[in-house]
Amino acid sequence: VQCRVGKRSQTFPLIAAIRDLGLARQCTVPNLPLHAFPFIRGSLRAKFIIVIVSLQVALMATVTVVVDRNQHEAIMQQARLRALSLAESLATLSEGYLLGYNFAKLEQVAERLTAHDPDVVYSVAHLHDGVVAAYSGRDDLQGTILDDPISRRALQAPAPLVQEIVIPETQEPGYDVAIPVIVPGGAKKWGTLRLGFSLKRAYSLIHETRRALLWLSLGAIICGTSLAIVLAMRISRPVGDLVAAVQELAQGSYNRPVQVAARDEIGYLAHAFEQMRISLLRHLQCEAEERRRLEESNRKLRDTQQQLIQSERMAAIGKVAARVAHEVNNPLAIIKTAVRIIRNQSPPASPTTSSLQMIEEEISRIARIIQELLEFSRPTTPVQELVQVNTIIRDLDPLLEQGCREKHITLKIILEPDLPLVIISSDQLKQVIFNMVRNAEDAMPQGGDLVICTAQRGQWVELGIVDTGCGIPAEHLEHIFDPFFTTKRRGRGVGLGLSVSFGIVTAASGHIDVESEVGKGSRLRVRLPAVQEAHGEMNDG
Amino acid sequence: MANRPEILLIEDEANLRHNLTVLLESEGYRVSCAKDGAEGIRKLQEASFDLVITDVVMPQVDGFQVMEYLKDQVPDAVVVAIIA
Repeated sequence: VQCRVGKRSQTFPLIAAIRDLGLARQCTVPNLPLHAFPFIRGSLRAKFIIVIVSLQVALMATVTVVVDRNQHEAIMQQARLRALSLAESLATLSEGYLLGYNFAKLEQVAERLTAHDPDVVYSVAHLHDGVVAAYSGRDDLQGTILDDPISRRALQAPAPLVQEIVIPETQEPGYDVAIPVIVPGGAKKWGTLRLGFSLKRAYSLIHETRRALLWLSLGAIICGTSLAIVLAMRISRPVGDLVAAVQELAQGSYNRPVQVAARDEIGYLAHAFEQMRISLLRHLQCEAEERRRLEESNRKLRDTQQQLIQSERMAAIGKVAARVAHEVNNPLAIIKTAVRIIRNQSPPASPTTSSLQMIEEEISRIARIIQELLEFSRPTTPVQELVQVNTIIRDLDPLLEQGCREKHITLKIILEPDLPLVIISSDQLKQVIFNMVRNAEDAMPQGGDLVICTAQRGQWVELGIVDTGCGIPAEHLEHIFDPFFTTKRRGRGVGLGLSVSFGIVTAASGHIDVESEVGKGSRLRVRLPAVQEAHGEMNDG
Repeated sequence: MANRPEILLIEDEANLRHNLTVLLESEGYRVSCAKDGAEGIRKLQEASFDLVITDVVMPQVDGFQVMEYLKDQVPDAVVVAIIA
């Protein structure tokens, strides 16, 4: 479920879901932060409880009112019927005595009925002219005419009459039932029999029923409320769990599964979220992989570009160097021969001779530099052959060992057996190794450790030269293969060694790279393509 | 004096030619000079030399052409080539 919000088109699936359920109408979606959810969660639960309880109270109130009223009516009806039937019985019993003016018997019947039934408050027998013939418990009223409105209406009634009264003695509600006595077959009224019926018992029954009803309602409301609370908890807990899980997801922890123990719509929603999380995770992983690949190819591209720039620059410098070498060599030869002529003419042990010798030596140095330059700029085309790098290193070992011993350097050679062959000129490879070892030695004027190692790295044969020297500062690293780049003391080198090595290795389709840390040392790595077919160590003792 | 070996020096750079001549003569050789390949070949046609020292890079007729000539005409000549 998704809902689009405002211009940002951001999705708030959960809110949409809640809104669809009609439970979060008041929540303002666009500015809703996730931490507002506990409030909504609480509200959801409370609302559910309030709605259920209100419904229940309303229902119970209606039921109570209706039942109470019906009960009230039924009880009153029953009381009325009972009063009537008692009055009828009184009439039936007293009719004969009334016709015969047997006042004593009438009195007796009235007294007995009153005493016999607790609801009967009084019973009265009136003669046809309204004179009291008998009055239970009130002998003093015999022979009188009652003048109160109730009595008057009762005496005038042509048919049985029930009147609501307040019983004077107890101030309780009651009925006054009057039954006229008609002579059978005639129309003459012989008298009236009246009965006072107390409603005390009926009312107490009504009260009792009402109380019971109220208790029952209260019990039902309490039970219903408890049930509603439990239910609300059960409904809101999965929602809470879901919100917590989604919140975590929103904060970027994609590895935690969204799990809610519910098999309803919330469970379904959680399942949908879980699916979303999985595809999101997959997508992210794909993206990371893609980015990594992209970075890798970017890096390769940059390296290639760097190498290209390097070789372009070297080719240009090479041309310039060749021209300069050529132009300088002739004057140099002239100077040198001239100096030799003067020296030949000077006495052997004079200061002039030694000065001239110095000049000659310096000229030789210039000549050497120019020789290096020429080597660099006019690479010969040496014989490319199948070469076992391990063999070359073993051949050089005594020479290297001697050089290192003089400089207090511990040389360690680690050769991987069964190294594939490479195609390169063995003389040039020796030159490369010499150059690199000389650099390493120069980096360790106080001595140190030098490791020469070989290894196979996939399609490459790798030659590593690791020293514990002074290291190369980062700003120099990209220039170390440039011709004439040197940080060595004057006279120790002209900065062509690595440049020439670079040219040799590149011509053999290999590459050189260098890692270095100032104060810790450097690691030069030469990689040459391995020749797959001719495996094994050739000429290797 | 006639038994001293004679060297033909072909060098276009005058100063170097002069210096080398002095040095070689001080070592006891007889030196005949040529300022380019053409002159050198002319001298080779006129006389024979014990050793030919020639510069390689020269204008017009260069050291290679001199050596071509020697290879054809004086196959047993001894040649020292000077390169820059």
